[in-house]
Amino acid sequence: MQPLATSRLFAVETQVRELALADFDAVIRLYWPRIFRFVLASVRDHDVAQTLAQDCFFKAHQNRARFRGEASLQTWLMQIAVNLVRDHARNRRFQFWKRVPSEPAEGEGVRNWLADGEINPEQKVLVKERVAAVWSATAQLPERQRTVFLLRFVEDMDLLEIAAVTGLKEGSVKVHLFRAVRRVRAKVGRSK
Amino acid sequence: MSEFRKGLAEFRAAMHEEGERSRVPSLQEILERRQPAPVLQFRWAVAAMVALTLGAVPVYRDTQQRQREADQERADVLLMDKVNAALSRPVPRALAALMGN
Repeated sequence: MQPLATSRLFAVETQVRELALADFDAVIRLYWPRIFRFVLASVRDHDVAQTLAQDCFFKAHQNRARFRGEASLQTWLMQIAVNLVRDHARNRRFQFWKRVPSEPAEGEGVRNWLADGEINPEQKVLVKERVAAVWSATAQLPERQRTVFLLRFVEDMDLLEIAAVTGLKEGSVKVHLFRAVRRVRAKVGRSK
Repeated sequence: MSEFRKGLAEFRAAMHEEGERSRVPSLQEILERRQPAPVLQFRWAVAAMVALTLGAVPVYRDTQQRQREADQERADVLLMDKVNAALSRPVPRALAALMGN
């Protein structure tokens, strides 16, 4: 009875996966906000984030036949996004003459993100400062630590999911996360 | 809540809000944007031709050099054959008639 149930479940999963990939616009609508915000948090540039997120879905669309469902669609897309962010960082290192400042202007990066009317203006300024401090601290992390940190605290992924996305072992994820938290906490504390 | 935790929670909320606010492109848009422009394709073609030409120059020179060396070698062999033929004669050609008698 068990193998039959498992095979049925597998067949249903396969069907769902095929349907999801057949309507790729639905995949984009569903996963765009996650991919975009992860990329934006990583590269800190709205236009670059838009381009890389589009690249991510383009690659996924080109390789959709290779997606076998060993990982979830989200994990697969996030893997592609992580690789694109890494490649972007490497290319930027070799294109220093084209480099634009990754540090957004004061308050520019967190502009208009807070819903109006919920908090008073003074509180809003404080919140913006705190968000800017965290974002600035993450930007100074080494690439792996930043990726792990953002996947944990922005994407709410657990250690196993992060390991699947980054290709790291669970133990390494823990170490990177620990170091990243320590650094960000120190920097945020200092910027107060 | 500590300042760090508060900052982290607000950072997360800000990122989520930005993700929700961003305009979601359609698949069509993404595919069209990724089509390389004809000008870009032409540039790639020109760059490839220049690279091929530059790469072909040393190969051509090398081939020419080898050809010259091979010709020279053949000429040397012929010359050596002639010299050997002359050296291996038992008597000078002028005395050959006398030796026959």
